[in-house]
Amino acid sequence: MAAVSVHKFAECITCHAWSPDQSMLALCPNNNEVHIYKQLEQDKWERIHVLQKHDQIVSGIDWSSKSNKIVTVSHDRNSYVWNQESTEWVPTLVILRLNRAALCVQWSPKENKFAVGSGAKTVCICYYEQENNWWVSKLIRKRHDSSVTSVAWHPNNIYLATTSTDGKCRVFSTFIKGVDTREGTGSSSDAKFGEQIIQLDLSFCWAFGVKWSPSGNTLAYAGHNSMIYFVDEVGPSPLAQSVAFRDLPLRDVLYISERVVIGVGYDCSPMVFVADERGLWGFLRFLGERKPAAPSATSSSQFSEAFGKFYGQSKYGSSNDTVQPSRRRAGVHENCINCILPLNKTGDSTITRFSTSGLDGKVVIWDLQKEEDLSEYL
Amino acid sequence: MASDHIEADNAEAIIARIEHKSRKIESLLKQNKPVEALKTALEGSHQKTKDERCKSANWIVVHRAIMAIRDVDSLFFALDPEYYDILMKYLYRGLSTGDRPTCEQCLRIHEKLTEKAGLGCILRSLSDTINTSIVEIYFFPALKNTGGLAMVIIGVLRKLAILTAGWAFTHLIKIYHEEHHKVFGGFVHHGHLMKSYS
Repeated sequence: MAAVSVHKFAECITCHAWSPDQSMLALCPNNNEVHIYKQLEQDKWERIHVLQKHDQIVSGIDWSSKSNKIVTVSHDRNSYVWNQESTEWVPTLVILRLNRAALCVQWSPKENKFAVGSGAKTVCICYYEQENNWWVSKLIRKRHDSSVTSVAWHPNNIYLATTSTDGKCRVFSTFIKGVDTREGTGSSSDAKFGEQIIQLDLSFCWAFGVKWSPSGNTLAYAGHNSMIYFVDEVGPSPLAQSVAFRDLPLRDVLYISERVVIGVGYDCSPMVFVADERGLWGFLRFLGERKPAAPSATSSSQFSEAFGKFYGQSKYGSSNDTVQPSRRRAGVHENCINCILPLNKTGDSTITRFSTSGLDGKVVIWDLQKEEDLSEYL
Repeated sequence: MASDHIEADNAEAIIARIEHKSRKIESLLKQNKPVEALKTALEGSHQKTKDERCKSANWIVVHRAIMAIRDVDSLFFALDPEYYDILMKYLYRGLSTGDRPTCEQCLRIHEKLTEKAGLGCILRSLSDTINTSIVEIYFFPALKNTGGLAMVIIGVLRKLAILTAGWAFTHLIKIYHEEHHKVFGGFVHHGHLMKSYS
């Protein structure tokens, strides 16, 4: 079994983030608070902090691994950077200058900037101004035709990939004078702030969950039409592969290595995509225990199954006992997974563990080390 | 003005092609090859056109082929996965007619198709609002210039990938090239007309 730890923290989790040493977990239980839990022992968690500052649902959390800062964004259009001072978490307001909800956030690899995607068709790049003791937000405007659903930083700390509900995936330069330096990034960093490097027009419907591979050579994102897109050689002449799969769409993806991608979403079980030796991507299998879908004998039982499914979902998060027998498969998550994060062991660059959280309020930690069929790809 | 003219030409060409296809389907049906007929009907059937005449002419042809299917199990024995998405789209078109025999036939195929191709296939057929189909992309790559929008197509078509990987295939990529796209736009458009219809 690939899931090594399952813990239900709340009725529903919108997003989660891990502390640098992965002993603490920050999550939003679908309200305006951020809860920080500390692991006491296996499957025993204690809530040690509640961060209360936002007015509406917290839609994004990211915990920086080097500087130990937490950034949160919310539907209230604001962002806070939380600093730990002795035992307390002290918030600093970052005015994003948005007129719609903020939807996602990520620290840049060097942690001197963070990017916020929003429903205002803009991306905010925020950085700290020493002389004013203030976080400044610079906007990339008029580039997206719809909400920005996810942002991902290239390892070079300059490029930012975004996905949007207009179906496009775009890559921007976020070079900020005085914050970034030109050296060491090669010719790629000639672009000015907000300049679009590339626009990928592969999906005809909402796009979600963009991620770069560890090297930054390829990126992957998911479409709401049950497709996942892999783009090689991001630059003037990119190479794209679209992989259609037979199950429900994905919400987020994660590169485990250059050749393995885990996709999570509405199907409740993580999917494994791998690239063969020619670089062609394909769906490999599901993670977690999974019974094959048994086709029902009669149409009437199919109907009641569908009815039970809807009924179960309308109760949303409450006891699922009534619908349990008719569940199509017994996965670890019982509802849509909307967040996936890598878990690195300190001093180890390869990722074998990752965590997922979803609308069923569970945080699940997965380990791929025992998955023998994947070892050749890692 | 110019684009109207091209659109009209386009429509004529499409109608002519549909007529040709219709004759081919009839002869296949006479030879008792309903699956081959359906494949022919689905191939390149989904033109990017706003012309309602083309759309309904197309539907009549596909409908003829769908209704000729007798044995659904053997259909899926012979039908390759690359046809699944486009077939699903036409099944929904059939269900929307409300015509009883058509709906019954479409539901029969729909059940088996969902079993084969999964819910993802339904989602793709629902979300495919721009009338652009996968079939179109890899059978007629040059046609994939989306109307008046000037775009540069930098595409790599790996037939090999389609054949070997089945579901996973490489297809075209469109990118906006900010400075150059106007320069190339018209050229590509004329190019594809020549290539596709002459």
